[in-house]
Amino acid sequence: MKPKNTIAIRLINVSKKYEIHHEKPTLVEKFVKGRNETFWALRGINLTIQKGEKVGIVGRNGSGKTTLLKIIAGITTPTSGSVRTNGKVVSLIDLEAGFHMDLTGYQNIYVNGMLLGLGKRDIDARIRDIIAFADLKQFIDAPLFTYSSGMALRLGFAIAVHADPHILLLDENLSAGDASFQNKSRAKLQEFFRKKKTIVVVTHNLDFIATMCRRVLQFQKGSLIQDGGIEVLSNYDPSWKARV
Amino acid sequence: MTYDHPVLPSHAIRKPSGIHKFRMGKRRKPSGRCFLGKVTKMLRNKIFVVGVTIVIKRDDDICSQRIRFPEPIGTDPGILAGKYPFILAKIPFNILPAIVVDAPEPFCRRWYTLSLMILNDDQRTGGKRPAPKGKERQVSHRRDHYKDTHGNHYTTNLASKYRIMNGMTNTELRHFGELLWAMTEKELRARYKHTVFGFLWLIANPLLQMLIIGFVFPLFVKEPVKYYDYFLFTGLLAWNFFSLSLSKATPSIVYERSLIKKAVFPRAVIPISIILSNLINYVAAFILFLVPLLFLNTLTLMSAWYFLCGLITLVLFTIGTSLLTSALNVRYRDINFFVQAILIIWFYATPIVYALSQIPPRLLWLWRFNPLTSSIQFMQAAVVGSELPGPAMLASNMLITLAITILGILTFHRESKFFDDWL
Repeated sequence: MKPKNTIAIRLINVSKKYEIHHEKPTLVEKFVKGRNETFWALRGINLTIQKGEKVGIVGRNGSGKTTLLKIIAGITTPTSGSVRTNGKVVSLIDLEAGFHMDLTGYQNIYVNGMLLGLGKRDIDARIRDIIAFADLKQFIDAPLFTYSSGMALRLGFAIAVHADPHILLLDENLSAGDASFQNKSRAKLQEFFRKKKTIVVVTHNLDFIATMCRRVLQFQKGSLIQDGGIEVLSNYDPSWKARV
Repeated sequence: MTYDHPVLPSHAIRKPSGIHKFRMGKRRKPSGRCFLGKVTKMLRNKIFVVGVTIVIKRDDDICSQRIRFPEPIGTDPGILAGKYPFILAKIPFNILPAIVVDAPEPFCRRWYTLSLMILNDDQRTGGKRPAPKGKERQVSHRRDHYKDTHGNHYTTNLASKYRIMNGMTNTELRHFGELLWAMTEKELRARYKHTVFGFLWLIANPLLQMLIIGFVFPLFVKEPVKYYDYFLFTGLLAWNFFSLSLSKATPSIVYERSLIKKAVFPRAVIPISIILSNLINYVAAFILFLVPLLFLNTLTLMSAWYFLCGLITLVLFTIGTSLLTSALNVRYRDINFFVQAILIIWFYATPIVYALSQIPPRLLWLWRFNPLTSSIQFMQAAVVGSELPGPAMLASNMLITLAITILGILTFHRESKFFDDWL
C-alpha cells in the first residue's frame, strides 16, 4: 500500500557537550575565566529506532543514558548532529513536576496535560479516564497540597500515560504509589508495550528489560558500545542470567 | 469510494504531508466545513499536486475511510492522463464535499486523525518544495501560471504563508495559546487563592503609594501638576504592572525548572503567562479606577486611543525585556539582582511622580532612553489630559522598544534550547 515512514527515532552523529560549572556561574566569572571545563556526555551516536520497537538501554551511571533520553525528548539540544523523531514523544521522567500546589487536581490536569502537548479538547475527552485511573475520587476538587505524595505521583502518572504518546520514554522510576496502583501502572505500561508504540527504557533492572525489550543498547562513557538482542545484557553484566 | 491498492502514475511520488486532528460537526449531521479550510491550508503549502489520498481514522480505531482523488488509475492510464495535472487549489472543492456528504453515522461527533498524502508531480518538482534561489526560482515562476491540458488557466498559491512565528503552524499556535491561557489562569488562581480581599490588593498597593507620595512630593514642587493624585495613580498602576511583571518573570525560568526538565513545550509561555496575568490584573484595576475618573470629567473621546497606545507599547516593552532577562538569568543568575536594583532607579527615571514638563528642557534627552516615558505619558494624557510625548521622544522610545523586543525574542529563542543544561 502506501510507503509508510517506519522510522520513529533517528539520531545522526549526535554529540552532547556539557560545561562543568562547579558553582552557578556569574557574569564576572565568565569574563574573568573565559571558557569552562567541558565534558562530553554523548559522542557521535548514530541510532535508528523503528516504529513499534521496544528498546532497553543499559550502562553505568554517567554513561549518557539520561542525556540520550533528554535529547530524544527534545528537552535539550545536542551540541552537534541531528535528531529526528516521528510522532509525539512523552517522557515519564519526573512525574510530579509541573503541579501547582494551590490548584485543585482538576485544574492541575489541564495545566499538566497541556504541557505534555495535549489540546484543551483532548483533555476534555480524557479527563474522566485520567481521574478514574489516578483513583482520586473526591480529592479531585481539593488543592494539591492536601494530597499525599502517592496521590500526586499517581496523578502525574495518569496524565502522562493518557497523553497518548507515539514514543514513550521511561527513565528508571517505573513504580508509583501503593501495590494496587503499581499493578495498574504495570498493566498500563504492558498495554503500551503490546501496542505498536515505540518505547525506550532506561533502567538498571535487567529483568525488566529482558522481559519487555527485544533490542538492547549498552552505553559506556557517552558512546554506544553494544547494540543487539538480549545477549547484550549478559555481556554487560556477566553475573546476570536470563531466567528462561 | 474505498480503495485499497490505488495504482499511481509512474511519475507521481507519494509523500505523507501532514496529520491533522479534527472533530466532525457537533450537531447530528456531520459537517466537514471545519476541516475543509484546514485541508486547503495543508494543500497550499505544497507546490504542485496531482492528487491526494485522504485517510480519515477515528481515534479509537473503530472505523476509518480512505479516499483517493482522483480515482485510482490502473485500467486505462490513457484516459485519466488527460486529467493530469490538477492544480491543487481545485482539488479541495472537488473532493471535500464528497467526504462530507458521504460521512456515515459512526463518523459523527468523534475525534479523528486526518492524514493527507499528497501526490506530487515528480517530473516537475521532484516531490519537493523548490528552494527559492537561482535556477529553482525559474521553475517556480513557470508554475505560477499553469495551463492544464484542457486549456484552463490556474494560478497557484506558492507562498507557504501558514508557517508563522518561528516556524509554528496553526495547530501549534493554537496549542501555544491554550497553554498560555492555562498557565495564566494558574498564575491568577494561585495568587489570590487564600486571600480574603482577592485582587483588591492590587488597588491597595498603588493607593498606599499614592497617599504617601501625593502628600510628600507636592511639598517640594512649586508648580504642581493638575489633578496630581489621579496623575500619580495612573503612573503607579502602569509602573506596578511593569515592575511586578519584570521582577517575577526574570527568575521564572529558574523557578519552573522542574517543568523545563520534564516536558517539551514552548518555553516562552512561562514568562509571558506571568505578564499576561499581571496585565489582566492591571486592566481590572484600571477599570475600578475609571469610577472616580468619571466624576473628574477629564476623559475625552481620545482618551481610549491614548490609553491603548500607551498600553500596547508598555506591554510590548515588558514582554521584550522579560524575555531577555529571563533567558539570560538562566545562565547568569546576576541578572535577577541587577533587575531588582535597576527597578528602584528606573522608578525615578520614569515620569510617574513628576511630569516631564517640570524637567529643564536641556535635560530632556535623557528620558529618550527610557521607553517607559512615552507609554506612561500616553496614559497620563488619557486620564488627566496632560501633555502627549513629543515626536522625538516618541520616535526614540519606540525605536528602543522595538530593538529590545526583537533582541528579547531572538535571545530567548536561541537560549531556550539550552535551558536544560543550566538548570
